[in-house]
Amino acid sequence: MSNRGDGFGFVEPRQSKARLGPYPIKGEFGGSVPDSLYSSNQESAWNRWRRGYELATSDAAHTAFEYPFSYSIPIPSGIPQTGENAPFLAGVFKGFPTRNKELGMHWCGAVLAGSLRFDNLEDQNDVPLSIASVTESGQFWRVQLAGTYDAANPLPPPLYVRVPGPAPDLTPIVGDILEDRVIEVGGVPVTKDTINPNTGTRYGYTSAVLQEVEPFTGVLVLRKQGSVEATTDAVLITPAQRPPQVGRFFINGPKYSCSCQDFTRRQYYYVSTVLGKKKSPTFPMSKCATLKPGRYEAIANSAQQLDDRVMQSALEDRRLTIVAPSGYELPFTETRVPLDVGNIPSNTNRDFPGIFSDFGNIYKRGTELPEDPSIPGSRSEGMVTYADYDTIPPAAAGQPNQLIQLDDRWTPLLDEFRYCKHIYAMKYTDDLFPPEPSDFPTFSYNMNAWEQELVEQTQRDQKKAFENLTTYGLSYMDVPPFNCQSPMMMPMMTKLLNVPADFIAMRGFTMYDKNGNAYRPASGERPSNV
Amino acid sequence: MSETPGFGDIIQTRVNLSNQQLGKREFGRSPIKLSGNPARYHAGDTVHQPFGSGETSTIFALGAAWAASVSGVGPQ
Repeated sequence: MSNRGDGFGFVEPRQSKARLGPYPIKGEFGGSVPDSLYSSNQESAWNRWRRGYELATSDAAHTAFEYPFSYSIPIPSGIPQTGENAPFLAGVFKGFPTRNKELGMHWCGAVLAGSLRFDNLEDQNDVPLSIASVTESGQFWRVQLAGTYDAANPLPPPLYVRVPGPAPDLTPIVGDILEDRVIEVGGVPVTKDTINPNTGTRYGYTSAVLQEVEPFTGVLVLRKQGSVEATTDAVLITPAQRPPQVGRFFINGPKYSCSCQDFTRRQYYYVSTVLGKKKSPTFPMSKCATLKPGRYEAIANSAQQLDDRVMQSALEDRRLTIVAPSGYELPFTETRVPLDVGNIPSNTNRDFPGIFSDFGNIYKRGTELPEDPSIPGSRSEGMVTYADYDTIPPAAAGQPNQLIQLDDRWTPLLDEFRYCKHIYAMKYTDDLFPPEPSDFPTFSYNMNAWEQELVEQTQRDQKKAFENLTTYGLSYMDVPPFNCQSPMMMPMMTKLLNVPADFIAMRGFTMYDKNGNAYRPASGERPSNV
Repeated sequence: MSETPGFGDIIQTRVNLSNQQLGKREFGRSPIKLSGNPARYHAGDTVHQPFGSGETSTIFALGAAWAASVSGVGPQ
């Protein structure tokens, strides 16, 4: 008897394996408190941390699946681009061969530190945004930036973006890592080994997550928890023991994203028949409970026709949009709804079988700012609260507000941002040993035996995944950036590049082949060795 | 640092595969062989992008993209 699958076509593992996880989180609207040891183990970040290490060691020499890139951010209409150098983000895609993944590959991406520099931001009086002062507040550093700020002259984008109308304003880089590594305007960022010629000692620096922005006072709130310090002895320690240094400028730290179902919180349907070896009939379906009510993502071609296929060409851009019933659109959603769909309820309320299931969208720990509990996520999460819901005013006086969105602010056991094992593997490879999460799972049997099995299983899986790849592997259009506008990759790309989906264009990608030669896929160019 | 890095150069990398590691790369039992070492960018590297005054910097472009998007303006 075959294993029973869930409503999305996923085959449930046998119970003995189900306890070991990790598998995609399946709780959708069940509140935010883990209700059993089973869910505690399944959702353990430590589990991913440990598996990531094993994956990194098993995958260390597979640089063949690394795709270095630079992405030129398109300039909005009406704004001239000045200067010799185009604004770009440097990064790399890395493929992790995976046995149970369609096409046999998960794509993980990283944007490098250094692309975003605060010495390129100025206040209303053209004062560069250096660190003016730092005060400590519980588990946070409050960093006052140089400059003059008020309600009419807030921090500049992308620190703060004012949104017209009643929609909330944006702080796009909240959640990113900031590092105080630029000593002077235009200077080379210091590394952990850079020595101050005036003192003969190393500069050192501090990395921390940007937790909050106070735009009208010019204050950035950085989180001590999970911070990393490069000490004057060139050692990385966590948490950092010293705050960001006054007079320096921040740069962005590394940023990661992954296409796997664990990081994206999505299941997908495995369509491949593996060269005909899989005989059982399949039909993709998705549970209503896993779909965001009334909304779904759609990708359209330049003719605004729905095009959710894998990418067919690098010469035509596609757009991601969120289709919603009239009156229930999310703020900032693109207006270009595919003509095939139309923004009408009969279409938007339909099931979208076999594409994705999705739930929740924000995963961050409570900020523990007791002085202002009205800030979403400002306290440790418990049961679902009123603040988790987003409503709009009632249609008529006397009626209740209309619920339009539920943000599941959910971090039951974590003390850092939640990563998948692929991202952990990249961080290990970076030589930045990631802090060990505190949610050590409750194993059902011997820990040593589990680890030994993990080592052997990872090696077996990696070897088998490579063999599979060489048998029925990737086509030319299945690797970045050629697949970056596919339904699977587009959400991952928006998280990685942190630009609106509208601004992810094929023409922005410059890739580098194995010999370091640049090529531009949108111009029809290919690696020199193809 | 003995030399001043140029625009877009990597100033710090944490990935230096040894010749032995490069030579050991394999695809399971596949006869496919690898060559080269794609060393342009690795995760964990730090890039040097010192935009001058008046230049359109990356952080400015990122902010401009978001500011334009909320106003319904797309890329050029």
